[in-house]
Amino acid sequence: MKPEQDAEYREYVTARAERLRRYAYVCCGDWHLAEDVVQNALVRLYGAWGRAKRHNVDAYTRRIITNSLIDERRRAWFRRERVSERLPERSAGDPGDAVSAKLTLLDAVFRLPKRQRAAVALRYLEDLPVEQTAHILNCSTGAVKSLTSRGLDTLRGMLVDEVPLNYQGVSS
Amino acid sequence: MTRDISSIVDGELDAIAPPSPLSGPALAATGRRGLRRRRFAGLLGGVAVIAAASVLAVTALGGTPPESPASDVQPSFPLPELDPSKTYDWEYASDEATPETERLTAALWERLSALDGVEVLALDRGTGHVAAPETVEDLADFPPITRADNKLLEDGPEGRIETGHVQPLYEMYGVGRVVLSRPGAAKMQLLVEMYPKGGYLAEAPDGVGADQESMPVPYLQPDCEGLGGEVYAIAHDCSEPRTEGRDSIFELQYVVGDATPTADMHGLRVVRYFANGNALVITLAGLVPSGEQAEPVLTGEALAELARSLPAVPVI
Repeated sequence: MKPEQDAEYREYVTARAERLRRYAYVCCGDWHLAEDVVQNALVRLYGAWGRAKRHNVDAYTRRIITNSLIDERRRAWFRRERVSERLPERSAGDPGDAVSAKLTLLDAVFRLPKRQRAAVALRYLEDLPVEQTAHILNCSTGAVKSLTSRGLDTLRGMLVDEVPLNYQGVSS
Repeated sequence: MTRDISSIVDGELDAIAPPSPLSGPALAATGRRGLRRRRFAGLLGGVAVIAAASVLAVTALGGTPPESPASDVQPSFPLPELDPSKTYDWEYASDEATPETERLTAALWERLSALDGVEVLALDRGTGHVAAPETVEDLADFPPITRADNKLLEDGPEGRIETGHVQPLYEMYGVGRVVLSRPGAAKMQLLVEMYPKGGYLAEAPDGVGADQESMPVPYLQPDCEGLGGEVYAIAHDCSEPRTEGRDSIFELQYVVGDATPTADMHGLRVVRYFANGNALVITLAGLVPSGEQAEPVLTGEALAELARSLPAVPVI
């Protein structure tokens, strides 16, 4: 890789690694696993930097991350061994407190099935358009709409008594 | 809604996110090392010195291959013509038990339950339940080998496109993982796959280099280099060429440096080629703190013996 490409890559990682790590964490609920997967994805990105830059670097990297985390058939032996998938621990809070409302929403997201969770994370946390989400999840735009619609319905059902969120203006 | 969810979740993540170990300069350095290893191994004709000690041995099983029943005829699934300027990927679909996979599963678990001094654990991802079989009847607790359809996809600017090529694969994936453990050895995950003829090549196709990312099928170079894109450093010695039409086994130990910031991935892989061209690939892999050595939970000889003991079922 040329020095200027190396610099571009380092700049990209510095700017995007945290966002990618958070996306991976929302997909899997484990910071160590999220960091491992993002690191592997970014190392692979280095080897494919020229090719990835011709298209969309973020989409390329997110696709590697998503495939690692939600498609359990692939490269299973590169994951750190974990005895069980536990939801992240939460401290109890006052139901009327804004902090406990935030905790409840993230817990609810973690309870979604993996593909719904990834779709909701890409569309509503990462704010990606439907077409790019479909590319990352390797599915049709119709499937993305269906996944996010079901995911939001499930979140509403879980949170209706917990958090009085404003759900108006939803576009799937 | 979008802003509500995003801002609330981001706020919660701000409160709980640990410091990130990911750094641009460190990852660029890791990426450079990875590229250098692959090129270095190629320049030296396959004898790499960067990895920890690894040995590749070839054993011809010898004798006349056992006759297969007429019902075990193995069809081939040749790849379509590939464009070297493009990259390819696989999409896995379906996940079913068949008479062939059930036969393979039963034989595998019978052998695993008979291993001396080795604990075999099954970890259920969903429940976290850990089980160790005492008898073959405990098979129901363990992840079976199942049949998957692999679709070959071509990477394009708008996403991945189906090529139309579909290849069956028997693999032990699913909701559980199998880990082998014994005192004094690194705990290692076990992975078993069986490829149909043409799915895991003993030689590189004509015109395909070791680093060629467009080649989606794993292959071994004539000098035994390369296991697809997953292994970056291999030292090996290929003392005997594979004999067409005979059972043969390749045995390989490898180390993937910097698999995580603090650990390397140590692996042991056996590839058994059946007379009908199918390939049984058994891999043991586990994380070992960087710079440390670790005994594998099974020796190469024991893993090869496990491979020899499994039946030559067709992959259809």
